[in-house]
Amino acid sequence: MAAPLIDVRGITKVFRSDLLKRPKEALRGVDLTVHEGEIFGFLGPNGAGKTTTIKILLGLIRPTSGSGTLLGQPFGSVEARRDLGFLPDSPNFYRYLTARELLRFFGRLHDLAATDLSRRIDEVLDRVGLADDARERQLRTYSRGMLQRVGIAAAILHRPRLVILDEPMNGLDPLGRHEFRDLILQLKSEGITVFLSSHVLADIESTADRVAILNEGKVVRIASLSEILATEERSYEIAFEVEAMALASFAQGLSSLKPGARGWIANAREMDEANRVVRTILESGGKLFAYHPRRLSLEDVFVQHVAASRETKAPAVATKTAPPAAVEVHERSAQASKRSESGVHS
Amino acid sequence: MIHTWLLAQNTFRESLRDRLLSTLMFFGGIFVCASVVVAPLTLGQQDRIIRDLGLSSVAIFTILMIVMVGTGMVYREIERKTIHTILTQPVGRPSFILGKFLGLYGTVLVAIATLSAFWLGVVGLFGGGLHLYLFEAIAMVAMEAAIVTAVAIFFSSIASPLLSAVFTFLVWISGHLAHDLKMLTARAENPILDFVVEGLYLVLPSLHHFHVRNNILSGANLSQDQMLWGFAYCCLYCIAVLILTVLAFARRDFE
Ligand SMILES: Nc1ncnc2c1ncn2[C@@H]1O[C@H](COP(=O)(O)OP(=O)(O)OP(=O)(O)O)[C@@H](O)[C@H]1O
Ligand SMILES: [Mg+2]
Repeated sequence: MAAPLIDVRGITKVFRSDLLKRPKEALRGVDLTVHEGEIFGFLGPNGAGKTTTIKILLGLIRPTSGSGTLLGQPFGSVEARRDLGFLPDSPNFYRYLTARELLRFFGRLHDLAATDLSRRIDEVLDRVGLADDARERQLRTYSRGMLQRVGIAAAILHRPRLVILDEPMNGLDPLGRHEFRDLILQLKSEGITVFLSSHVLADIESTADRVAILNEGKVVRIASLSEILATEERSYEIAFEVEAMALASFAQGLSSLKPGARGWIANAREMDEANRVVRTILESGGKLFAYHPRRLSLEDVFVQHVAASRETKAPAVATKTAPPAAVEVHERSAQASKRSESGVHS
Repeated sequence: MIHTWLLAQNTFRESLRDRLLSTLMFFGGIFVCASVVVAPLTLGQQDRIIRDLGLSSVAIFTILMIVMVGTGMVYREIERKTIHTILTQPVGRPSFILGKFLGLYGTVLVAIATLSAFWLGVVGLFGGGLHLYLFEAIAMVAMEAAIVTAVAIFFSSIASPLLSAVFTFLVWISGHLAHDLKMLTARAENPILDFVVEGLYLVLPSLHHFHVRNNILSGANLSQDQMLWGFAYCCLYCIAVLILTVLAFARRDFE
């Protein structure tokens, strides 16, 4: 296989912004590879370290340790940036320039010939759907979504090999999101590799080939989308109504139980479990509204990975005997295990 | 190189669109012309006072402009995060700094040209006519301004605008005093004091090279040596400061 476009090995980043504050460990050993031609989804809750990872790739900040390459060059190489398009999480461009002036400036920094540039600028502005009458106005008069569109235009202006987009859906209206999704798929069909960091799981699910889930500075899962969705267990959803007394008898063993529009909605991981619940409902004279198996969505997988690590952390401080599964998770994280130790001694 | 030029152009455009600049130019123009009103109060010295006051106004407003417009130049880019969009273009950090310097200096030259036009006009009419030494003096102001511009860019890339403004201003003032201070302490014959002052003298720009007041007062042309020395010193000092800035900038994180 050809060399990966992005190759990240064991990157860590510790922010020491303030002498008085504790250093902030934003990344704790991130490994990633992104191959030519794919759409790579980069997921993670707020503060997981997505933007930090991207800034390290681009050479805006330096990793505390670890190494890697971008487009075959070390991070921060000027050479690599010729083939790179980037949309930052907050598109702050020179406010005193108009959209056309900005793109002209960037285009010339990329050595695009001045004669083609005007045509190309209109082409990309059309493509991201920036209104015609806005193009000659200074960017400080733009709305959030308009800036976002200009940012996307700037990222694809010079026909890069790789585009890195940090939260590209921010500020876009529903139609804009829809158009943007199509744009990403088009880019892929043109052979452009897309690295897409986003919270909008539906968008990632409908575009990405592979995804990585980042949580608390670590990649907790990296695989192709189809693999993630296929290997994760299915779940069984049961909508029902029973007497409050009966409810307690089978709540145990369910992966979730929450009030529905009418009655309750239970989720079970195993078919046996689901069948047992259904039987109990009927035997206790309850009403069964619906019973259907469903495949996990990316959102479910995401919630599972992220929630799992949060839940197992909290009880570790309080209880001496953590359940085996939780212990296993803790052993992987030095900090967490230290905390559980101090919990035992105090 | 072409990239540096593009960045300089953009910086130039930015500072020209800055309201502060036109405001300063306006008041600068008024000050230069005001020398005509003040001068008659000094009997017999009118020509010299018009020349001297006018040139001082040109120099001071140029420095004010650098301090007020220039000291936020790099800091603002970091604060507003526009630096993220520029340093991810195929532009090296040294080009960025050099572009900032050239762009700001371009603006400074425009300001000097504007103020000097007023000055030359006033001197031509009321201050004894146009002579070569007037133009030489303007060249010296421009060289001094280059040094102060480089210093402003340096501070701007490591400190907040307010601090850089204060520091730049202090460097400018002490740059003018450094030479006198050295002359004074040389007489005291105190080795420790000598050592300290010698060190300061090396680090601070020796702005006395660009001191042309005597020529302006007496109406004498500058020596070729003084011009050449000034030019060489200006180039060397700017290069040294810019290299220092580039080094300070190279390892920085832009969060
Ligand atoms: N300059 C900084 N100084 C200290 N801590 C920082 C700094 N920048 C980021 N962090 C911390 O690093 C962690 C990761 O931040 P990052 O911006 O990478 O998250 P993210 O995954 O992009 O989040 P979001 O989804 O909200 O954009 C956060 O806990 C954040 O507080
Ligand atoms: Mg982010």
